[in-house]
Amino acid sequence: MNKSRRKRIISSMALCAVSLTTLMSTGCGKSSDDKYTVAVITKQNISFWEDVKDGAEKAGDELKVKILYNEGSDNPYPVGDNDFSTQIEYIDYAIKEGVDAIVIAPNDTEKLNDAFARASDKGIKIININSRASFGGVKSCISSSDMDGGAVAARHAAAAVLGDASIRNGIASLKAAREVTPEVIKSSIKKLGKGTVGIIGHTAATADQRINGFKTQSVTEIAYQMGKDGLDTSKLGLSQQDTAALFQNFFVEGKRCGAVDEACEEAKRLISENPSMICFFATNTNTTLGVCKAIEELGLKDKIYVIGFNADSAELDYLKTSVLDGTVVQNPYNMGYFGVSYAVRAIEDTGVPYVLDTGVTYVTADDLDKDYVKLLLNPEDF
Amino acid sequence: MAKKNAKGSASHGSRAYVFAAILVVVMYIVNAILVDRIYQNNKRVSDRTAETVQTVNRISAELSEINGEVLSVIAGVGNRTGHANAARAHFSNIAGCKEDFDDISGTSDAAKTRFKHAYTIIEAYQKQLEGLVSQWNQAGGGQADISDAAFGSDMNSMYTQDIYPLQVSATEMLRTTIDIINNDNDEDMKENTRNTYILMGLMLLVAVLSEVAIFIIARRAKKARLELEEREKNLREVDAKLKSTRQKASDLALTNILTNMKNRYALDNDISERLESDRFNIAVFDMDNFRSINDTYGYDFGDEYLIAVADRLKNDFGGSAEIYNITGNEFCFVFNKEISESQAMGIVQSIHAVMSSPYEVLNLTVQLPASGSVYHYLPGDCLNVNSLLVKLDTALRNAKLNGGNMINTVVDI
Repeated sequence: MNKSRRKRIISSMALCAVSLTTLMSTGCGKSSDDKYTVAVITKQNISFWEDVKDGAEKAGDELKVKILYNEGSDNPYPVGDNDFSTQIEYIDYAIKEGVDAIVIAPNDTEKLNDAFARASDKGIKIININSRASFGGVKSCISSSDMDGGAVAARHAAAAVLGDASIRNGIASLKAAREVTPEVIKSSIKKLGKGTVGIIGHTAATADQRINGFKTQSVTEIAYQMGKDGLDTSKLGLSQQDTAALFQNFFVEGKRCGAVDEACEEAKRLISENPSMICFFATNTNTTLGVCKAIEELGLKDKIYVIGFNADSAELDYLKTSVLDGTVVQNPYNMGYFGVSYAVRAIEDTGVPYVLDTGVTYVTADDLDKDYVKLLLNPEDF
Repeated sequence: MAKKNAKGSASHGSRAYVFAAILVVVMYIVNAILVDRIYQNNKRVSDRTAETVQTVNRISAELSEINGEVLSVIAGVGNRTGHANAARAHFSNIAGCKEDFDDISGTSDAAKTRFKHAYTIIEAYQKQLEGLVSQWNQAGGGQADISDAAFGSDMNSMYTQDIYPLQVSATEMLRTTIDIINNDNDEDMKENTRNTYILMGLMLLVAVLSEVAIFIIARRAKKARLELEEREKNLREVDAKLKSTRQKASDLALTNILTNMKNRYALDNDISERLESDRFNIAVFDMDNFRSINDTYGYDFGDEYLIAVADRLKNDFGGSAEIYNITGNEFCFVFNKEISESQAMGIVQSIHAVMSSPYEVLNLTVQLPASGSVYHYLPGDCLNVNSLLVKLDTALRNAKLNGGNMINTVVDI
């Protein structure tokens, strides 16, 4: 065997070895680790949706899912809470990319339905987060109940309102009256606490539910407290609506605001018009920041008990300086995480709950060191 | 040297087979070890997954039980304190499960993180429930039953707003933990399968390379063996030639080249050992004045004459005597044992007549007289062949001195 022939044989063997090893190491499966592609579509650029994004991406890492986050439009985010057009662009792009599922926080309950139908026709699974669209093909909605969010705020607001001297004295004077007739109580309740609680809602539909939950639970709490004090409104023979109507003077609601400064001005207006105000409820991050800004500028942080919504870093700063007394924290990280996790289950058809309530948590400055609150606020670091 | 090289190649060839055999054995042992390792890995992964999933499922089941206790309280079924104690027992079981989970080695960081989140939610859930129990005790003023309708109504809100979301979030987080564990299991299994394929591929490659190496070495060994056989054949041929040459040389040493008769050395070999024990008749003849032929006609003619004489002697007397051409034209006749002394004398006369007869040599007819001596040898007469020939030559010389053309008998003195 001459040298060149031997060389050729050795080279061929080496080539075979390399080819075989390469084949074995790269073969036997897909080249990518990702099992599915899921489009995650959220709303405007605020920390709440950043947390949703973080949760979604974390689930993507852990469950081997490629995430397309708000992709397919010149707008990196929907312009506002009502910008469904940008979301439709995201949906159509996701369809074009052949995603397996879409996880979306819909900016409208109706106007995205056609886009959902187009996606659904392609076999793409639809998961909603934050709120549910009316489209019948939505597999699951992961949200925290906005009604419950408002109610949780109300239970803590009630403690502050009922602890206020003027309210306590008012109830006490009613109880002290020798002849307490239903008419007297009704008339007294209407006078009691007029303009005590200010409310500023944001512009999205969720604000209605939060405010509704807040008011309903507030009435329950106050009525319950009055009942404990011997003034049981249930004995007046009033319906629930009538009872609620009796307490309407408690609440003063400003116009709906989208921006921080707008909410600030509106809060100032309400405060100036209602000098007996002792509590303020804001329904989202921007309105909370606006109210806090007004309270801080007016120097009323010790007089007015402020309850906000969400836990933006600026909101946490207000919480630490006691301008904001408490905030209702949703779980946006879990919303994003479960959104993608449910998308995988929907793709694999292993069953998803129709609804998942991720819950709300009332957080005060004292709670910031608690494990669960740390998990809520900084899930990536926990 | 060539033989040594060929042997060396053949030895290399057999060593290659031994090496190949060892390689195959080693391959199989390594293969068995690695296959066992892959099997153990798969088993370990399966066991770990089963144990982890079982632990997490146990926690989910405990959470479900706790939720049942809470719902019973809200629905006003049973004793509140009993439900609270039962829920505490379930939480205690969950704490035990957590320890079991923490003790399981090899769980991925993602699964651990997800489990940690789930457990933190469970702790918050437990604190909420404990807070509720405390609040309940204050509201109920220590009552063991749950008849406080107003508080019950508030309980509904607290359950849906503060408690249920924690329970369901924890449960879902645990389910996601299981999803991750199953994913990890799939990944580990896939990696093990990939390793198996790589291992099998490598073993196949080694086997193929070994086969190729054995094939190449076997071809080289075969070539070396053929070369060795060729060399051995050549050597045998050379050896045969050598033997033939030696035989020829040996024959030449005992033969007169010209007449092709045995020579003086052959006579020495043939009868030396008989001198002591045998009696036999021996005679020596030569042509008288043979030199005149050489001088007259040349040596070539003389040689031809001798050849003619020799051929005639062999033809006429080869049957009754061994004939030796011991010098130039001198012939010695050792008569066979059965030839008697008188018969020998008769044959001697015939020899003399033959040698003295005319010969046709190169178209010339030549004739020379011949003389001879004869000796009836008795055992022990002579010590050696030389002294025997001296006796015969002396008798022959005496015949020639007396005029030649006669036969003289050796008389023992």
